[in-house]
Amino acid sequence: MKSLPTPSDMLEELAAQVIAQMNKQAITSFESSFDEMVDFHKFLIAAYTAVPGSITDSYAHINFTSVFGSAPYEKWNREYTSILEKAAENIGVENDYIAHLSRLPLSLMPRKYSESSENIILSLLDPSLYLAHRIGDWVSQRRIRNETGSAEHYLSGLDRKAYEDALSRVVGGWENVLMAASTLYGLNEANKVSASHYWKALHTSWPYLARHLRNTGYMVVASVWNDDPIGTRDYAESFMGWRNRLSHVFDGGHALPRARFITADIFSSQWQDVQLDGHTFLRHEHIPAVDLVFSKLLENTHRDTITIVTGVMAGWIIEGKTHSRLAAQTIKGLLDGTLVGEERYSIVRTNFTQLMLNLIRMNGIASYRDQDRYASYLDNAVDTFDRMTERRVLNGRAFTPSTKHNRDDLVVAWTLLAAERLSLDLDQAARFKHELAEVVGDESIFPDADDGVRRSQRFIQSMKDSVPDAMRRSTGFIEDNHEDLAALLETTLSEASAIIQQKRTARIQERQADPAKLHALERAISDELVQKKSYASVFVQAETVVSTNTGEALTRRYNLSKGDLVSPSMAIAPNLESLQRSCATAVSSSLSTYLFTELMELTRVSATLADERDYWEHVQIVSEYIDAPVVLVGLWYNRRSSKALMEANWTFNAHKRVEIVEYMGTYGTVDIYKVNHAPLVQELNRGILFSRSILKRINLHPVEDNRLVTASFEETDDPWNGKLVIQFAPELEWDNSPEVIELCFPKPETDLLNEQI
Amino acid sequence: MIGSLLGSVNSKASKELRHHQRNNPALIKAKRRPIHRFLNHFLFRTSLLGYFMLYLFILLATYADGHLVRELWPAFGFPDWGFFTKNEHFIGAQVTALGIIFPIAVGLVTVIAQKNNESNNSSDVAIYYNESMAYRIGASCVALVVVLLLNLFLADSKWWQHITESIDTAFVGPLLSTVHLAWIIVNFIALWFFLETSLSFVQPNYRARLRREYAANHAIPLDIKRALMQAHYYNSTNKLPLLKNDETADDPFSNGPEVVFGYSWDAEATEATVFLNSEMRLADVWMTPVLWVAKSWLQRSRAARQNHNNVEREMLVFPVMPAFSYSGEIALCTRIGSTSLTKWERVLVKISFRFKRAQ
Repeated sequence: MKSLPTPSDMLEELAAQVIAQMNKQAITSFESSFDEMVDFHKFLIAAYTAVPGSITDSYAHINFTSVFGSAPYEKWNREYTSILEKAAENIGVENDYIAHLSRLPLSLMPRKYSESSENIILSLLDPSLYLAHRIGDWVSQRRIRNETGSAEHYLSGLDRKAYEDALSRVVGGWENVLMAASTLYGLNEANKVSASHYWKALHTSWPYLARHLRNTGYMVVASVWNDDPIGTRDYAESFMGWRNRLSHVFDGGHALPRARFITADIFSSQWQDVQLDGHTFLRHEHIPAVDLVFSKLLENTHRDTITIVTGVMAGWIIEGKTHSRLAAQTIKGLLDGTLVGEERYSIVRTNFTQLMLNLIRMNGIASYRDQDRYASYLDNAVDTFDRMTERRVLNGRAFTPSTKHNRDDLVVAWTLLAAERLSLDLDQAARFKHELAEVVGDESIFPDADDGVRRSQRFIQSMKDSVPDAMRRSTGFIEDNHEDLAALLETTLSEASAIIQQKRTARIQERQADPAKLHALERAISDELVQKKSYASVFVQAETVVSTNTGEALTRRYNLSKGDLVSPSMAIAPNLESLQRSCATAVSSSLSTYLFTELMELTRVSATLADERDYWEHVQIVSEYIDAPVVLVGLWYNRRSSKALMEANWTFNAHKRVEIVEYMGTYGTVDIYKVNHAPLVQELNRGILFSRSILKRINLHPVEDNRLVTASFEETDDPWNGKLVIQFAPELEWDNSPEVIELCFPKPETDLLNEQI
Repeated sequence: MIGSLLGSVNSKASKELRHHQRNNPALIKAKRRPIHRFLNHFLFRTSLLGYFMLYLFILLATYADGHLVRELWPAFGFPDWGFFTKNEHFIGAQVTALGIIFPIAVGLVTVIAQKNNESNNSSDVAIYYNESMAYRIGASCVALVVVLLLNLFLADSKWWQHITESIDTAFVGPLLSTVHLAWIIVNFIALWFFLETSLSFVQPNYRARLRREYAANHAIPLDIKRALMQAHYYNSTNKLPLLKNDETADDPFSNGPEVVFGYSWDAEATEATVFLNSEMRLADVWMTPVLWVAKSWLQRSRAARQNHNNVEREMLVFPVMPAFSYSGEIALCTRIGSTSLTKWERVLVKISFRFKRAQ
């Protein structure tokens, strides 16, 4: 039989049956068809879940059917789209469809997370978003403008009642999904076993909780973009109460008030390590319980998500993407915690100081490129929320391209929010500076130590630069005197940046170059001099001998940021290996220059020839009497024209390439190398011909305490930069029997012309 | 064994699939009933030809050395079935069975098709035919009727008598009757299975169970096997030596030689092609020879780069993908750059890609 149905075909057909029942308004048949579809979908998820030892968590992830196609599990989820649309169409006619569909994520969820893969479980949270979108579409199509035609929109009485009913079911169903986390990830059971087990279970559940929080924020943003005050009220209430709904599971209360920098990155540590760091990182005198730490993590993530939601909406106001008052009202409501006219959520009230410290936390952590870190959650949230503006266009809804993709794109919007918060209480400026000084006084509380502090400083600086831009577009959002407020904000941010810089400078002044790092540099340079020997370049036959005698030391000084050498590191991108490599290369290059300089000091036989053709002919003739001949040329050498002159005898052997000098090719038996060091180039009138074996030996004498290389750091007036001083003592033994022959030819007119120019 | 030596992606996927089927709780729970599994093994897939070939084989074996067969048979020999040696009764029984199967099958399909006009029920129809084994049971009954009719009309013919002169007919008669009896018993068991399946199919719960059994035993294994074959084939690049010694190893934008499986690329030259007369499915790829060819090509390409300072982009591409269907002239291997495959490597590539008629 041809074309037997695939699992996706069967699910699609079941979806068609559900829709057929909805068309007939047969609610009982709808329920049984829908349950049949959900059962089959659950069965597919379970059947595709791979057993341990397979190449994937679930075979439903594998997709090679088309290059840009969806994986099977994504196709399965999409089958609900038309059902959700149909259910939304029937709001006011039959709200039971919505009631049923609001339970969809829970119905599809496996009993235990181990029965499926993380991606699939997370994807099961998305149908609720589709549902929120669809009922949002329903509102967009049914609302009527008021008499003045302003941006306020109303639903008729019956529609409003039906919509409120549908909304309460959607929100209720969505909140139940959050409550299911405890059972799904076996948190209570793990808590009874041990703290480490509990920590591990919380770690496993984190992506689920984070996705739920992000989706809740998304629903708020969607309803604001939809200009839907009723939806905004309900979704925002759910959003603001998100953390409270978990309080029965994680009884953390308001503990660890100073642990501002706990983020999901803490899960990269085992619980034992978190305990060890507890008194510094968590700023807690005793070892905190798992619940306390996790509650703080939830609180911080919740605050961050609120900050992103408000930032994205402020961005719309600034860019003129929304003209209704709903966005401004929602931002103020979310920050005040009073959106629904009650004091229930005052716990999330955000003043200027808190907003700024939240922003420092969010921007002090790693850049958005580190996909495994908390930063990726934040940047994905920014991107997801702002993509709202690209949703499909309905009557009364605009389309504009999304412009915010990561935290950096929200700086102006957050500056506007900071100005708004500051306008409410000007005394907060001083309080913020006081708290900031305390926070940045101890870099160890930042996840990336000084790196995090520096990023925070950069962020505050960019906020300061954005103040004029933000204030220019704040009309309708901030009522107060703009100029005074802008000046105060600018001064506060400048002072904040200065406080951070001052604390950092004090720290780097206190710290000395780490001897362990200097020894590591010495080791790397010694390895380079004794083993790798890239400085020997063309003198491949020279032997390097470690001597025990003393010799005259060469001293080389290199500019270096002090942050690279102190411990803990204060470098921009701390990487000792990279520093070792670059130091070894610099010293090797210096020694190479030394070798060539010394070579030029040897006695030379000079001959002047007619022109370049004559030059190469003589090179070939003379080279027959030299063992392993090499020609060292200067900048005059032109690969193309010179190669043409050499005609058939020219070859290129890639393996002859070396560092320091550039291999140009081989003419007969003569290898041609080009040197770019300025002093040597001037010395090289046209080129010198010599044997590779002219340098017999390089003796490396110890400099100090039997060390071949010594490295030290010289402080300068600039506390951030200094000189790396490297000393080593090479002694060269030349074989004088082969001669160094200098071959010249008069400069062509073009060269002379160039020189005159 | 041979499959793993050849690096067959089909064998590898089948092995993993078997492991999955034996250990996945959902698939274990949705296993078919024993009677279904028994009939699944006994009944040929679709055509009548299988039955005729088997019957012919029995006849030939009997004709070739009836005595040997008789000696191997239990000492009590074959009972004299008497009444049942009359094939007319068998034919009557089989025709009755056929008379039951086809009206029910057609009737039920009509019922399913009319159940919901707004939804497309082709899956249910396909699942019903597949899971009730209507085709296969019908084919077995028809084949037995044909065999019996041939027996009936040929038994008295001179031609048959001439053939059977050398055979101990007292032995052959009961033997064939035993075969016919066993066959008809199986057919009636199958008929009962068919009736049970068909009459229960109208119940939604049974239909859901059958859908799940069909998915678990047919559709999902096919889908997973396809995915596994493609994943193993696509990821074969990982088995090739890394560019450790290559000067461009650390450069992500290097145009160093690389081998790609399962993606089409704008090729400069085609290395190996195959012409398919009809639509065929890439059923298997023997990766051991293919990887050997790829490694050999990589070595040559790198050597050429070292010696001639070759900096052009070099790529060996195997654009076809397992489980996909193809027809006409298909490129199995293409290349970008100047390093080509040798004659023997092309032959190896051609024999390593195994096509089967698309179902």
